[in-house]
Amino acid sequence: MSKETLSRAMSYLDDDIVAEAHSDTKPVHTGAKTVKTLKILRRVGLVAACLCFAVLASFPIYTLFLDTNKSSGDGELGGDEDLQYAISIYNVDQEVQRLRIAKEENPAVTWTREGVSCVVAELTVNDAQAEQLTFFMSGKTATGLSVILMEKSVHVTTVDEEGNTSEGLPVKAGTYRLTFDYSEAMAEGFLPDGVIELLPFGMYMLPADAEQ
Amino acid sequence: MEDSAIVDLYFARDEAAIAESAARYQRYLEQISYNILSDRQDAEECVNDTWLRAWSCIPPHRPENLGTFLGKITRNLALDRYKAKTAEKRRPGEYAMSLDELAEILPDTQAEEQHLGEVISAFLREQPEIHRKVFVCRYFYSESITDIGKRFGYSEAKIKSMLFRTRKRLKTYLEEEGIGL
Repeated sequence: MSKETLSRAMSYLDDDIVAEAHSDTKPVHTGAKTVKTLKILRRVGLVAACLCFAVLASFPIYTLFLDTNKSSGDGELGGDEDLQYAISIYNVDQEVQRLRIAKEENPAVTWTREGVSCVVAELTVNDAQAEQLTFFMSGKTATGLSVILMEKSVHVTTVDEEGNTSEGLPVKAGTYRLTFDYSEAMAEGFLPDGVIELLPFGMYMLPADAEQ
Repeated sequence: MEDSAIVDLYFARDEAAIAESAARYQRYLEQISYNILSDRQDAEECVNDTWLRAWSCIPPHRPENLGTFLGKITRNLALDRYKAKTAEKRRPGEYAMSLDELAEILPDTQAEEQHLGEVISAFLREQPEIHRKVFVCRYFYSESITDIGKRFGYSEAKIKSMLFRTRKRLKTYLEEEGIGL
């Protein structure tokens, strides 16, 4: 049988079958519209992603780490002889914030430069480090460290599972959550000149005598 | 005017039947012939021939669906014209001419085509409606894959896939019916 015969045979299809094919001119499937909609959404999504990236890229990226220099002698740090630890927040290439933690009974931390609005970080402390991190409140059930910025200073407290706050006790090994809450400071008119949009992606803990 | 009234005009040998048919089906028939011939002038001539053929067929034949009836006439005329045109281009030699002469003694090909058409109709009735419609649009109306996709709201890939599967099933069906391809 030739293809021509087959083609000719199509002319002998039943009338109702031939008529049926052109009876309904409306699309029976809306998949094409769905695909079109998805394409539009994909484009919108790409544009939105680009905009988000552009906005985020305009903010500095910071690294938070625990600096255990006993005293840097940096004028900005104030030369506090009681300083034993400092938490520094770095952007890609320069230090922009330094959180100094004085080895005091009621430690206060001073920012050398205004700018950070909020930082949340997980900090893991091992046994050796815990011995040196005396500013952390620990106790038996300590689960977190709360840092509250007042004007240009930060008060460090820890909160245990029962809601008790304490300060100045030796820290235990474990993981701590650090929160820098500026809401009060901002309420008092302190406006940071920068915002940390990306949470710290690196935290380093050095022993107190690392540079000695 | 309704189809039945137009057919009545044919039976009454009223030439208005042609005008009424053209008013209702001219574009439809031109599209069928154009899909085969890809030439506007040839397509129009095919449709004009269709009126003549319809005038000679009605009566005695009384089509139930005038549009389909005219469409089939146009399609056959277009296929004839297509064959003639391609034969012209090929400039057949003696071998091709001798084959045509031999074809005169072959069994009635029209009867074979008609039987095959009935078998294909039976096959199509067993297929899902959308598959059937797409198949007819492609192989009766000779519509492009793109046009069929737009008509039914499917992508071209989907239409191709649908046609491929239907052809495959048709092949099996014809073999089961003892019709070799």
